[in-house]
Amino acid sequence: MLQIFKSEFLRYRTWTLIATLAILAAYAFMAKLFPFLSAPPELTAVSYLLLVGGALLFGFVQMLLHKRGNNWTYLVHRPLPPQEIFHGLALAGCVSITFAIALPWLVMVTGIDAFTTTVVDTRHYTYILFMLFCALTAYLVGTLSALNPSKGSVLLIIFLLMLMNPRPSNDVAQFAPMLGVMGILYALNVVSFKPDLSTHVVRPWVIILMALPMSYALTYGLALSTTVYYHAPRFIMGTHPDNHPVDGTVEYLWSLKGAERVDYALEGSDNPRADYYAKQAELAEEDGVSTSIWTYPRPGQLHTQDAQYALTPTGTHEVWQFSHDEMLMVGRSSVTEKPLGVIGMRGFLGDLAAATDADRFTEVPVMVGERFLATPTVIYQVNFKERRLDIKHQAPAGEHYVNRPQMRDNFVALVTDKHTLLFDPRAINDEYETAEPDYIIAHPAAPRDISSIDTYRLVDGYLFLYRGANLFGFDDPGSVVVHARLGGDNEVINTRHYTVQRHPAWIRHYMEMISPVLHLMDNAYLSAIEPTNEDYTHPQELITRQYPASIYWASAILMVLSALITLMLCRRHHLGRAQTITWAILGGLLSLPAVIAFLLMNPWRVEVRGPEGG
Amino acid sequence: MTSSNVKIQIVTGDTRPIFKQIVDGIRMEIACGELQVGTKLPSVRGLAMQLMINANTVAKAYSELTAQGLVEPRQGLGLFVSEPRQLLSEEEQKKRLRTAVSGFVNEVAYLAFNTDHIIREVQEALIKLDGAPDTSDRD
Amino acid sequence: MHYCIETHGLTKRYGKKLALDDFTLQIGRGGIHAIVGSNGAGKSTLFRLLLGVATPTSGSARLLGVNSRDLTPEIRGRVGYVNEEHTLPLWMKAREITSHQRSFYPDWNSEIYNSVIGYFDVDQNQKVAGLSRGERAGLNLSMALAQSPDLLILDEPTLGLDVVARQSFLEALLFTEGEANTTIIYCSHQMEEIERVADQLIIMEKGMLKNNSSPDAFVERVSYWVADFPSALPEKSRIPGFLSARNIEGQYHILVADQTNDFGDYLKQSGAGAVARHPVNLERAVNAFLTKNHNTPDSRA
Repeated sequence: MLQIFKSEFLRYRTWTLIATLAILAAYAFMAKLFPFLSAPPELTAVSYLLLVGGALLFGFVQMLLHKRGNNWTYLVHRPLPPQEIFHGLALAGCVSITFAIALPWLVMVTGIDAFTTTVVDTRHYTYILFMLFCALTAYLVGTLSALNPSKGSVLLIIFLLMLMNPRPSNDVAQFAPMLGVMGILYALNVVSFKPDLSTHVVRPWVIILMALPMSYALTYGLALSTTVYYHAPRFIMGTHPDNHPVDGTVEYLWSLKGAERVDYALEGSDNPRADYYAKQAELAEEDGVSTSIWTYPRPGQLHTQDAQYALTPTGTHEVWQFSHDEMLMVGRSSVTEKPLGVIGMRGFLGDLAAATDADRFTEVPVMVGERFLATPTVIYQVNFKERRLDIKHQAPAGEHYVNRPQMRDNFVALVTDKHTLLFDPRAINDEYETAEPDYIIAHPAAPRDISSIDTYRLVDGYLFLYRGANLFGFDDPGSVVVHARLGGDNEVINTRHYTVQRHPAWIRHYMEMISPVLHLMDNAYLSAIEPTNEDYTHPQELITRQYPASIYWASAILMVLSALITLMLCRRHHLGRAQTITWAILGGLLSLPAVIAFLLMNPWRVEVRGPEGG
Repeated sequence: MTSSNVKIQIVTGDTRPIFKQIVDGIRMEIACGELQVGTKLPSVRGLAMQLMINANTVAKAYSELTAQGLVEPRQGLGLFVSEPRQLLSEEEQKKRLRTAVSGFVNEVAYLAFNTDHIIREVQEALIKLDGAPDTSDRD
Repeated sequence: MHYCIETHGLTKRYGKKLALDDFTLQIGRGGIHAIVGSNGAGKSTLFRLLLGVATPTSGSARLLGVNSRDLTPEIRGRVGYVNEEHTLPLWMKAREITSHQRSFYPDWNSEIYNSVIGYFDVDQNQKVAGLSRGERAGLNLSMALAQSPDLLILDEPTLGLDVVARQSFLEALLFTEGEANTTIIYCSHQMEEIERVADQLIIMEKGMLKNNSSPDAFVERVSYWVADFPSALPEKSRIPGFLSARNIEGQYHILVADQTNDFGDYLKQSGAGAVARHPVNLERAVNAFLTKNHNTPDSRA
């Protein structure tokens, strides 16, 4: 194995060196443009794409070079078990990737840590692991696509979506799935690496481990396919709700502007003052409040997920950056690199050494604007001139902010899980006072079920127009118009239920229909990894939901049909008993995607067997 | 007891198999006196290397030569050119002679020499082979 | 364990193409076995199946007595394989690759390696990519022979080599064939090489075995007849053992397999005038077999 590793590593030695130096040069260049540890999100996205794409391609090409013609016989025909040959090749590939990815980052971060006063946390170092695991995952998908005869192996890259997309709630949730996925991919590679690459692996556990992620990836493919047979034809016929809004649906509001929306939401209202409000809205200034849920940072989270790098008060050279290791804001001068002290929960402190545990923040604050720090329950205001830290606002007991403070022209909005709080911008900007909200409006539904809030500024307060496809419960679209009066008295003007739906049920609940189990697994995984994100539905809730009856029927029929089709396909492919049972279960459980996965994981042409058999 | 190298050439693409070419070649050299009685033939391996052919082919040729009585093995020493003696039956010899003559006649038939001239030439050639006319007689 | 190579009803189908068709062959221990066949006759497929890098559609292949689908590292260590490209890691130096290779083979014979490599002018510090074709072939053969394999499969090893390199290759091969007790499977298009080295001649055509005998015995099987046919030649399919026929200036040159002198009588009965039997050489005999089912244009045109 070591000999294979040595030979293979020798092959890519020069390329590894070039890649390492090129990445280091790119980092050095980037460090000149902006603080190195706070690359713009677009750049991070591009670098992920290069990282993942490069590793995938490398893995694929590395194995392809061995697979070509005589090279394969040369590689496998030696007194070594195939697994050991693969271990050698994979080790060489992994070492090359580790060099190219970990080394430049380590050099940069260690350099910044050693030679500047910029805050460098443990998480900046552990970020190497994140990048490395992502790259190695992509690499193993690349090698697998070259080694496994299945035409769908590359779909296993979907694993990366599951690893990179959520913001895990702790380090275990961050790294354990990565290790698990790499383990699965490595095992799949090892069993795929056999002298005859053209034969499909038939061991049931291999089928399951490959078919599951492949089916998951295929649900997205199937969802995209609706474009072909649903969206595109309707667009062509001019009946698609996007270009031809359907009156009577809550989404019709999107096509309306300004006061027309209020008009529409008040349609059929028996409120005597409905016309009055519609007229008032025509004169009103419009704005909006977002209810989309935002996951607050967690201690030790990936530094690329930080919303803002540091507070940099204008007119000074001060940079105040939050240290996850210290749980304090650490200040320094960007000119002299001199430390400026720290900010703890109880205010400014002369230096790091003076901080006690009581000073340390208990939650990681997110920086807002030039002088606010927001945690899920408290908004702090920093007065740099006077070296003071004041509590600007505290969420009502038992409530927490679901997203960041929203600064608008006429108001500042804080949205908690129960209320919308509107503040006078002046009250927020006041240097000393604790801000008291002018309006406190209770949500008519949970924030996640409110797709948006339109606000209309009236003479005596605000008109709030809530809407959502699930506003009155699952699949029960509605809109609510609330008049919030200055002084706290809120009146619901109208609630409107919409019985007409924009899309038929099978489009609205497409994922649930084509594979209820995968939908459930997906949500179960995501809500376990990132429980604070309510966009992911807890499986408990998914099960108790009431879908339209047609969806239950359709998904049940699809599941049975899929089981039967896979069963039939297994017979046609002369698969063994264990494989047939495995596939039939997968077909029945995962439904339609499993059928496609079967086709991708088996030869398309069924070989005619001779009378004497194999 | 001298050891000599064999000067034969083999030709691929000939209608005669290689082992036959070796047999013919060595027989000719013995007949011409290039290989004296008592001369040691090259080893199987040596000749195979020299001619760049499979050793088994040489071995086959040697066993044919041994069968014809042209060479004889000496225990642990190798093959040596033997005293001339005939191991072939009279019938076989007659047959070989006929084959040789018919091939020869075929070759010379179209030449513008009369039969006397041709017989004379053949006679001279046979006399040149040292004592050759006698070898056809058995001792 | 009786045979080096043993196949029974071996069949391999690639899509609609039948690369090997009910191929049954046994090769015993020892000697040089030449395999001849035109391109696409199934030689490469046979080797791929024997080495287990492809799976037969039906039938079985055994290498040193072990099913080719379950070759153990131990068996692989006893079978050398040299292909026409002389695949070696291009990025390694000759010296590195030799020690790399040696580490896998406990029975590595440095003596053989040194004497074989001596036939070639290989700079040990040169990378494989920088070696000439002949040097690469020499390095590859040296390593394959130094592994002291029980069975060595050479798949057109002299393809593309110049005269000098080919000569060195043959010399080196013959040198070790006598030394070690290695069975050699030699696949080549060079009839001259085969004539020189082969103990056994195996002929493959269209995935089927056509001959497995010594080259001399094979030549015996083929006879070459020249006959005057005032009328047309009988239907080809009705001529016994028919291989090929050409019309050269009114005379038919006919090659047939497995026919005695009675064939002359047959020709005469079929209307031939003068009939003569000619000797045939190996190359012609082999070619007649290989081109049997190919359409040869009449030279009458």
